[in-house]
Amino acid sequence: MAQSFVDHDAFQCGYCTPGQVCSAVGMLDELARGWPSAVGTDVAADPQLDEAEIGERMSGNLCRCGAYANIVPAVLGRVSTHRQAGPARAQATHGARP
Amino acid sequence: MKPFAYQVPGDAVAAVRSVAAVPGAVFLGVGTNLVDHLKLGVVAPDLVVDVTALNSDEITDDSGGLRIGAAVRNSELAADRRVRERYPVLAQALLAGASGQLRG
Repeated sequence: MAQSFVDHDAFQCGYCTPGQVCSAVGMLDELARGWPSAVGTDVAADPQLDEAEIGERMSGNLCRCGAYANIVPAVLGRVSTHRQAGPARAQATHGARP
Repeated sequence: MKPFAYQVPGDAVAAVRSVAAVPGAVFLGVGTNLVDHLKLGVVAPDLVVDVTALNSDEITDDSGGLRIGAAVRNSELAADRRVRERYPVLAQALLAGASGQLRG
């Protein structure tokens, strides 16, 4: 996740970045467990990750620089890399560099 | 914040006894609201009795409804499959409250 933030230039001053990275990892874990959010109109349906879901689930973390435009693609990019790498490799990468 | 004594009683009887013995003593259950009030000086008790561990954190079927333990977290309740399917307005209300990290 940290590497994805670097790759997507998802910060300016960096003050909020550790919290953003931790929140993104935690948020994706909640999503993987099927936890709903206020974005979905049907709370019984399994949530799908999109920009609106990332915005809602990361909404506790403020960025005074306003780097949200790149934070959202960084999180989406991390998910995309995770899927391409496959479960086994993704797990190893996750452990070495969350 | 005004200093206060902090106790974690072993059962409900001990918890009630502790709070009854000190005027203005308060129960702490998880504490999202109480801790805010302590910081702001809205309340200034001499004793805080933490009953978080004494309450049930289970959600069980009960006579056609659900029995929700007092220590069930909002996020866990909103994510419960039975709540989402049978009581969607409750799940939506919980999810609309604060942001995920503050929801408790």
